[in-house]
Amino acid sequence: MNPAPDALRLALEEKLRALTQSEVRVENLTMLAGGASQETWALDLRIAAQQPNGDYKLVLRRQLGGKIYRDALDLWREFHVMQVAYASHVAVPYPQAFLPDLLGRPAALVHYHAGETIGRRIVREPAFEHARKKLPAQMGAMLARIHQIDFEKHALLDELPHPPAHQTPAQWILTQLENNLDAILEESHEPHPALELGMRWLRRHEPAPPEKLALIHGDYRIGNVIVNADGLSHVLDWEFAHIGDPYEDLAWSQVRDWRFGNDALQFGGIAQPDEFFDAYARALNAPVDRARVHYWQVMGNARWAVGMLNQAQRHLRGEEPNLEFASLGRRCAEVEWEVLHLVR
Amino acid sequence: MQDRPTAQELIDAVAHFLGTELAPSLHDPRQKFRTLVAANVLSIVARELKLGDELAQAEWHRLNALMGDDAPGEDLRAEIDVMTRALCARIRAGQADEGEFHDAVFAHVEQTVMEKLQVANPKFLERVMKETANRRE
Repeated sequence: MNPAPDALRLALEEKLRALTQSEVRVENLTMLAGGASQETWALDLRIAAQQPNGDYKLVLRRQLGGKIYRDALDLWREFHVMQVAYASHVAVPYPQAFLPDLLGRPAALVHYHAGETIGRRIVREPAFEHARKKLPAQMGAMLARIHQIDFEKHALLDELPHPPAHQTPAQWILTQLENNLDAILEESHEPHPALELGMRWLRRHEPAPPEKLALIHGDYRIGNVIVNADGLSHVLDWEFAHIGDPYEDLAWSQVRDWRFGNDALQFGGIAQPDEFFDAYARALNAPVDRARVHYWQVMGNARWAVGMLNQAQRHLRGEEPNLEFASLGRRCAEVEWEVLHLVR
Repeated sequence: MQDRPTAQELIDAVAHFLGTELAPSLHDPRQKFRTLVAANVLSIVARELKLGDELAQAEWHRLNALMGDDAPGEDLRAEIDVMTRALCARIRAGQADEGEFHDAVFAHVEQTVMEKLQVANPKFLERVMKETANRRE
């Protein structure tokens, strides 16, 4: 149930008063997005004790429950990943505060940054023409920075989902996908031979395991970055962060469904991926293996297809009745087509 | 027997209302978008009503050629389900990894996905068919 803005505002002021040891005022509290699993609000915060510098524009995220994938992070772990990323000079909105209990739910406050996040607009609008030219290289360089984070130093290995000792990252993910498909078969009585073919191909064509594991963003693509006229502003949506093969992130942005209708341009509907790969390779001083990208592109499409089926399941179970979720159950065929097309 | 408009014609009427009357009248961009999604979902239902039976027949015959050797029973869709599950089990077990069976399974599965797209998103199907044709040239 969405709280009345006033109840939320008062609760927030109370928590922040305690946190900052100052008189505070929360204004312009506006819901940006709301669903059964989480809510996002924009707000202005004025901290009296810090005036004249104590004015903040913030985004509030409240966690309500229910995830697409079983391994999606709780809000506090996502918050921690953002802190580590910020400390490692990755352009992530500054994670301002985590509140374990705001009206009974965990909540996080991060800095607000103006800009565009909607993929269709970034890909099509004339205002972003200059930005589109710069984005591939900027995103490649930023991804390299994410993958260079020393996750062990920051004690993230145990905190984040990671492959068990006896499995490579690919085997780990494939096993999860197989289990997930079996669960969908049992619950919805719906077999997916196209995805079975894709997963079988993935089992049989696995490249050598990566030399080094990395902190994986897990949803790195157009649609999860803030873009302004100069290109990349900030990287958002860290809830799928985990430890794994860096090629997982490299390939995810090539998944066809993230091209927002401009299917011919493989990198997010904006460009061919060469500049993206080149910038990444330059930053790490190591070439990008295109065959390995292809493998993880198949994996990415298979993973997204299963994700779509999971979202349709949530609608069908009544967990989150949602027309868009329902229609994803039918749109899965588009991603199945892409999987077949990539492995033929 | 029911009077006109047919089930399909009713669906078309609602889809048309949502897309051309309701959606343009809404101010909230999220609700506008969701109304267009609703209109699109109704088009999917309309296409399924129109094509569903003939596509099920085609799928049953292809599966039967791959997996069984019977005449169709009473419940086509139930049989499609049983045969498709058996097919999935065989794929998972590695029986369709290579050779003639692989090619036959791949062709059937690809055709089935295309049929799903005929109902769910014919524009997407058209787009990818064009891409494939262009690449062959």
